[in-house]
Amino acid sequence: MYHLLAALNLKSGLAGRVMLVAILACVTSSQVYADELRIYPEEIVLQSQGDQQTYVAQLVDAQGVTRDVTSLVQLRIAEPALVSVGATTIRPTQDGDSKILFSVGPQSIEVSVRVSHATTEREISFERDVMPIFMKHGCNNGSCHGAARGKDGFMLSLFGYDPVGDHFRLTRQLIGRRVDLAVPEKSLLLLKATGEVSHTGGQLFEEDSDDYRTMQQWLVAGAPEDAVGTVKPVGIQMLPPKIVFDGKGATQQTVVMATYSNGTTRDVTRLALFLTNNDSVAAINGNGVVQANGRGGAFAFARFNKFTVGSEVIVLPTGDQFQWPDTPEVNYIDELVFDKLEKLHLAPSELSTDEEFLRRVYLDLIGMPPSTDEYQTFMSDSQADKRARLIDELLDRKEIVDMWAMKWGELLRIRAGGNNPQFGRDAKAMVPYAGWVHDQMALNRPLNEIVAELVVGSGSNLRQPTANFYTATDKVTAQKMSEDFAQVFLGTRIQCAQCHNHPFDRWTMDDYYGFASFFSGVSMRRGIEGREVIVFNNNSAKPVEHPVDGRPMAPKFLGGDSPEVTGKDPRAALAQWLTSPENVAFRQAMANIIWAHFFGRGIAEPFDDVRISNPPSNQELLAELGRRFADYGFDKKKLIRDICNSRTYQLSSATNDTNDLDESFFSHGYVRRLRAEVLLDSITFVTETTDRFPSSSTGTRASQLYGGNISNYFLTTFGRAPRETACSCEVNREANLSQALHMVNGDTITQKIAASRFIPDMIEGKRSTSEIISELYIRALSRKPTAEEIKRLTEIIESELTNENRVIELSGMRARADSSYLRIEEQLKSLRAELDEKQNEGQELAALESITVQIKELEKQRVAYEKRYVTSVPQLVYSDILWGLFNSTEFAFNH
Amino acid sequence: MLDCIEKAPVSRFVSACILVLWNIAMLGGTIAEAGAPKLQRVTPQAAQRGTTMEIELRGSFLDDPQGILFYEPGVSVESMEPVTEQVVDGKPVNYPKGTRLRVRLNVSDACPLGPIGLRLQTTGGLSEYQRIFISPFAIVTEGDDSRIKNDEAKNAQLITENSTIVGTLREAYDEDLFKFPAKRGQRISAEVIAARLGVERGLPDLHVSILNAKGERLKQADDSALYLQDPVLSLAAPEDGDYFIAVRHSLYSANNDAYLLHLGDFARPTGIYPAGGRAGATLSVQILGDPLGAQSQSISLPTEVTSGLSTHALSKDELSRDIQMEIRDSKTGALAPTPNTMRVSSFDNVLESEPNDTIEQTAHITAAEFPIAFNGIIDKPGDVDCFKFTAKKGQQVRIHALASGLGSPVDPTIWIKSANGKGATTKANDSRINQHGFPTSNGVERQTVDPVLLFTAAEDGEYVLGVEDERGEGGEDFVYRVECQAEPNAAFVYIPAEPENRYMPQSRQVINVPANGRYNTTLSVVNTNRPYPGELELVAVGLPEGVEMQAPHITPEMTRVAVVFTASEGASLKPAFAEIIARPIVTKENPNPESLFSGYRQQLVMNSFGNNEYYLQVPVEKLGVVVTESAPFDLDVEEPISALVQNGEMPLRFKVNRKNGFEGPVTVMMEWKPNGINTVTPLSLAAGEVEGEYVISAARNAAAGTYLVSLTAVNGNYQPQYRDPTERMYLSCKPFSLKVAEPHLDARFARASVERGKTSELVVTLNHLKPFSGKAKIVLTRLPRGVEVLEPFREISAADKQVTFTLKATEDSLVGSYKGMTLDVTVEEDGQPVRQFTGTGTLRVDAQRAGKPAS
Repeated sequence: MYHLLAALNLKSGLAGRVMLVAILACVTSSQVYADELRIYPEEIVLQSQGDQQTYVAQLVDAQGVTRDVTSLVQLRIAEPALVSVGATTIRPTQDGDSKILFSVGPQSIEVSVRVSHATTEREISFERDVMPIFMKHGCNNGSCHGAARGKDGFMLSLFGYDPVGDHFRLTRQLIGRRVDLAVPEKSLLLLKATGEVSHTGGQLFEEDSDDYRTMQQWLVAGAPEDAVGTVKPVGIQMLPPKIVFDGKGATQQTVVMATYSNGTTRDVTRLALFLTNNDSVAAINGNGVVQANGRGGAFAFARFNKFTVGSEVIVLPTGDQFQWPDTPEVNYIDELVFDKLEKLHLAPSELSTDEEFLRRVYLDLIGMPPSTDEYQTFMSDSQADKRARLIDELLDRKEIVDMWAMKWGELLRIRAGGNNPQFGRDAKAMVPYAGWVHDQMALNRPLNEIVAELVVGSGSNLRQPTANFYTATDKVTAQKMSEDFAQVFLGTRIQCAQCHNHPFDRWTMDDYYGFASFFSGVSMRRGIEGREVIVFNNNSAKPVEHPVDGRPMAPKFLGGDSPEVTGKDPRAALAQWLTSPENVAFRQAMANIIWAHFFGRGIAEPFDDVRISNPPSNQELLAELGRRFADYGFDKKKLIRDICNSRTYQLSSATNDTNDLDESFFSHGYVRRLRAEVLLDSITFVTETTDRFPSSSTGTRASQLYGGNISNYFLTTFGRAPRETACSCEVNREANLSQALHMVNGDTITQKIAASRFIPDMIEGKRSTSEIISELYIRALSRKPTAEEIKRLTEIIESELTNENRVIELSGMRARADSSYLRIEEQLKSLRAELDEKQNEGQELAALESITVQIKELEKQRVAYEKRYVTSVPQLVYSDILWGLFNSTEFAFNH
Repeated sequence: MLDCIEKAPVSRFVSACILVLWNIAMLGGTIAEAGAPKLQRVTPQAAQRGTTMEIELRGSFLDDPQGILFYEPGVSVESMEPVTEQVVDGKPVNYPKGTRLRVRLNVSDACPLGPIGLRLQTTGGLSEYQRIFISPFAIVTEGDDSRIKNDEAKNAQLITENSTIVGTLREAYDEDLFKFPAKRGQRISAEVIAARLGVERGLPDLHVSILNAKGERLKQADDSALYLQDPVLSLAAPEDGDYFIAVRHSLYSANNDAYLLHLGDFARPTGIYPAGGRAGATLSVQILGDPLGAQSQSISLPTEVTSGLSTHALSKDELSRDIQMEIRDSKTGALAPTPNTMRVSSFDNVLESEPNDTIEQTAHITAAEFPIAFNGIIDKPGDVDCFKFTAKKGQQVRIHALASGLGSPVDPTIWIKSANGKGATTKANDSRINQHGFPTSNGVERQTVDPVLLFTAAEDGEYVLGVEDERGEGGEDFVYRVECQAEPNAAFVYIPAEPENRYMPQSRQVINVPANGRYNTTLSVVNTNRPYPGELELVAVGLPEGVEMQAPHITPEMTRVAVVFTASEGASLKPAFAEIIARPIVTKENPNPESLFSGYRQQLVMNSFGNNEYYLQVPVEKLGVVVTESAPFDLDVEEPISALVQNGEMPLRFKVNRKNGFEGPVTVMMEWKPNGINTVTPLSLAAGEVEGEYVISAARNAAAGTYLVSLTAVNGNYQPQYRDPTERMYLSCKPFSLKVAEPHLDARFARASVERGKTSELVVTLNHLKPFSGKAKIVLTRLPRGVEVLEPFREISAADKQVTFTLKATEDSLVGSYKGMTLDVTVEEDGQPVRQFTGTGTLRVDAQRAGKPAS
């Protein structure tokens, strides 16, 4: 019970309270009695002779750990005549209602059972029974018959988006053996599937399988098309909804229940397709058995018809003696994050040090490290609220505006479009557009208002900045615009649903084209000059047609209603729906984008690809952040303040035994490579130099660049977003060899260090060696050097500067790198040779005065140069230290 | 043709030769190839009215300057001298010969403000068009040099009164600051002229802003509705103090861009309402866009308008004309530095009376009758202005909404509905450039934003005209004017763009006729409405004395004609502006042809930017013509006696007569070709060569007939390119007739096959289309590889209906079916061979049959 007692120590918080109730409930019983038996489904309904229901029994202990006890369960049926019970299935035998008592040891639970039409066979339906077989065996996959042109002469609609078309292609497209109603067993449909006739896809099932029987029955029945009004599935459920494994190797059977349009349910476990989002944590086989593979959290999914649903799976280490550490919670973020961590048996890391926090919050909020003064001020502040005050100070800095203007510039793809002004993406339009975004950020306008204004953007791209929202799409089609729109503002990628129902998400083609219809009237025409484009909405434009049957698809919100927009600009209704505080998808997508900025990953990651099969790692947290963000009136600063003040954000990046592998639950500070702009701006800031970018004013920093087209070698190498697509993947934060080589050999750092004045100033100011070293460390790494570092570096500096030979060697190195010095040497050499030659010829020295004067002059210059090299040796040595610091991973990463 | 040479004047030539030879000696043996000067830059491009001003012309081949031809009145040349050396930044710099000229200009008090077009005349002809801007203010040179940067407020140049600053953005990110002290409430105005200065390639797109003494940006402008890329700004000073006006490239991408900045407390009107009126009327107008508030003024419109070379009273059928109106601030008396565009019409105005947003609200508006001009302001976003008019059934009216063309920010949409709400709505958003009497010029054609709607009343009755802004914008200076009048016939003449204009947009848009020689060009006609239903003759007015134009008639289906200018002996060397007018021809069938407005209208293009687009079009209505010094060669073409038959080809034999020791290469080409006639690419004769053959061919669909054509000759190897390094002299041969006729024969090939290593017969049936005398020589040509014809040629007479060839396939021949054989027929006609190709046949080459090895 030790861990329960530890939980009692929790000061406050939701998790603590819930846990407390659980403890009080079970504290007097022994472990086995504390377990709770759960049976899935919670009700058994059998509706035809061939119907069957798989059941699953799960024991849940006080910690929430679950155990599959289906094989141990004992059934007692009140009226045994009603059903027959197999190993894990129940089949009907007689109509009637009854109850079944499931028991495991002392635990038991009663489940009602209802049987109807026990002696009548339900008609085989093409959509209900046959098509799921295609999906389950991958027949209608993109790599098989689901390909756009089919496979080996036979095409099925991809993931079954077109049942009517599939029926036609099976039964009537080709006269021949595809379907042989006279001898159904000789239909190629069956012969190929069983491998009796050569089939590229191989054998899919045996002749004695259920799937075979289903298909055969359908053929025997004459391969009928479904009658009008045949019930259709309206949703599915995967049970149990949550699985917590205690250690590797444990398994859990799952059951998939489909609900139909007439309200009936059906066990579709054997027809469903199973997948998982993290095989290394939880695997799932074709029968729906989940297996624990390694520690962590994952989701197992079932796909049936156009629906995908998931069950959460947590795998805890076998018998770990986990003890939740006493971790203070600052705000709701910590509550929700720690709650999840506790369930996962992950202990959060310690709080970061002041130095770590200072550097992290500067780089995250304003994209630059703190100056030495700022460092000293913060470090010498002894008040408890100094971190919160610093966050507030930074939130008011103007650099934060650049940071978020850059972020939105990426999301909105602000980039000038090369030499094709007719696309409306000329720099002439992009500069004011980027300026507008910057202004909105500077005013801290509510994010939903900004977005609403963009959505209805119209007019001249040169005069109305928001019109450029539509010039950013590479193709002016309703489809493309809706895809980008959903990706940026709803965090979801609907591209798949353009051609078929989304295989891993809820979006169907109807959803896709209904949503695309909002943009069917958006058009562009040429303005007065070549670079000007006028964006306008044709209010009488026809909606987009469904490609399968040509139906006009009225504008319909993604996962929402269909507004009345006839004769109006439908984008206005879209903007209103999208940016309403009630729109969960929007507020969560926006909150997730903000969160991702501070943790290097979203709660759902990537933040623009949230789908059922890619759920957030902490749904409760994302929901709460979204809700708060809407409550804050979409004021991003308020949300940022919450995030930065949370202990979660301020956790150290040093890990402990439990959380070292965690990359998604925020149990420690994640080490993130600085993004290209921040890295360059930091180097520029530390060295007190300036950058010069094309088409930008003097003093422009990398994070202030207006468009993705403006770049330089450094930024490109370090993965700056070219802003060509709406994808969040454009910002590349990978580390690679060319980056390392550029840091080591490239001219960016070398030139900046050479141009920097602060090292010579410190040397001239007679600062001590350790002072200079400290200054370099504080500037570059926002921390003081350790005693060991000072000691070793001082040794090196002294050995370099006190060794005369070494100084000569170093100044010689400088000289050899200086072309003007080399030129002097060259001239001297040739003049001396000339002098020698003329003297050898017997000319008097007096007659050669002009040469000797020149030699003297050049000698003077050479000596001056050499003196300068010698005096600059200390600068060289300190510069090398700075170079070393820039090249350390500590500098290139935010940690 | 040869007699032409014999008749050449000797005396003048001799003296010219001596002069040229003397030059050769001076230049060390090279021949001076006289040609048109290339004028690339004028600096500064500004002069104050009523002063003398020194400017510098830069380019190449600027030797022997004769004068400057100005497009507008009021400017004259006082002196002109070559610049060969100059002190720049304290160091002497030498310039190559013919690259710089210093010119002293006298700008009279009567000179109009705004752009003045000019062309330099040398003995080689007229240069490209360049422009300078006449300002009412003193000219000040920007003080930025390599030592003191005026990028910062502390180095800003002090300007205390209305001035025109001549500046340059030296680096991409250069920013020039000017300090202007102002009292609270005083107006501070800035107008930039940069894009309007015109460069060959590139777009000087500048940005201007006004900052206060603290460096806060009070107002900025990147563009203006008045002048597109050139911004204007006006601001009432919020307090006493220094203000800074900053000029930079809008995208920090300046490329040594020159600019003019009018800076001071002048009023810079952005709109005049109403924007026009009846000729000679005194108009009460509102001057808009002033931060100190609108001003009411009385403006007198001229009684006469200028069109081409003529100044005349506007006739009632004539379309209204643009005029440039100089606007004076009634408070300070200062003129706006550049005039505003207004319209002069032959009819009266109707001004809008709000509320008039819907048809219902027009009930209180009195219906007007055509011709009329409706005037209004789209004063707020979403504003709709409605006007009412009455029309008779079948009445046709041209309804032209002007806004963008006047420099107004409105993008007008107009619609017409019956006042009773019944019937269809006609609507127009835009217009085509030809509807404004100009050919397309591949660029910013502002007028086309303004719609032209050709309205025909369906019934007698009242109609409502609605005016809206297409982008839904609006504001106090959103002025528009809708001119409604009958559409007259109008056809304007211009020189169409040739391939070389892609590289040198202004190439050959003047007529440089060599003394005692010829020059040819192509002319096209642009119709504002439908093509003129009748034959037109082209008449040149105002040519220099001794110069004549020879042009064929234009029929409705023709789009282009070739014309030849001839300078007779003793022709005047004084340049002149000419106009070319298309005039209906009175014939017996058509004794009363429809009237036609016509003239010369050319869009000179500058600021080439992006994908072969031009961001500056300067419309001109006068064609520069000058007689140059005589060419060092001329071109004789032997006139073909026989016809060029369809599907046939013909060599044109020509001779280049080299004179005065001119030995360089000469390129010959046919620029204008009748439909269906093709030619080889321009043919260059190497140095020293004098004779050549230029092959022309006719397609099967070439229209039969007789055409007057000419060949063009130009010195040097001709290769269109940017910045042509050669001094070019173009000339024409004497125009000659080219007859295109039906072919003599039509051949049909029988299907044939031949086995490798064997022979086979090919039978061709001949259908005689046109009789010929004597023998025709027939060659079977374009055979596949490895197939030979045993008879080198066949001779047939007009009686032969069939001809047979023996084919032999060698071992090398490729097995398979081959299409492409044809007959090459040469008939002797009028002592000249006439060649045609006819027929096409399929030949199958088979492999050797098994068991029968070839011997």
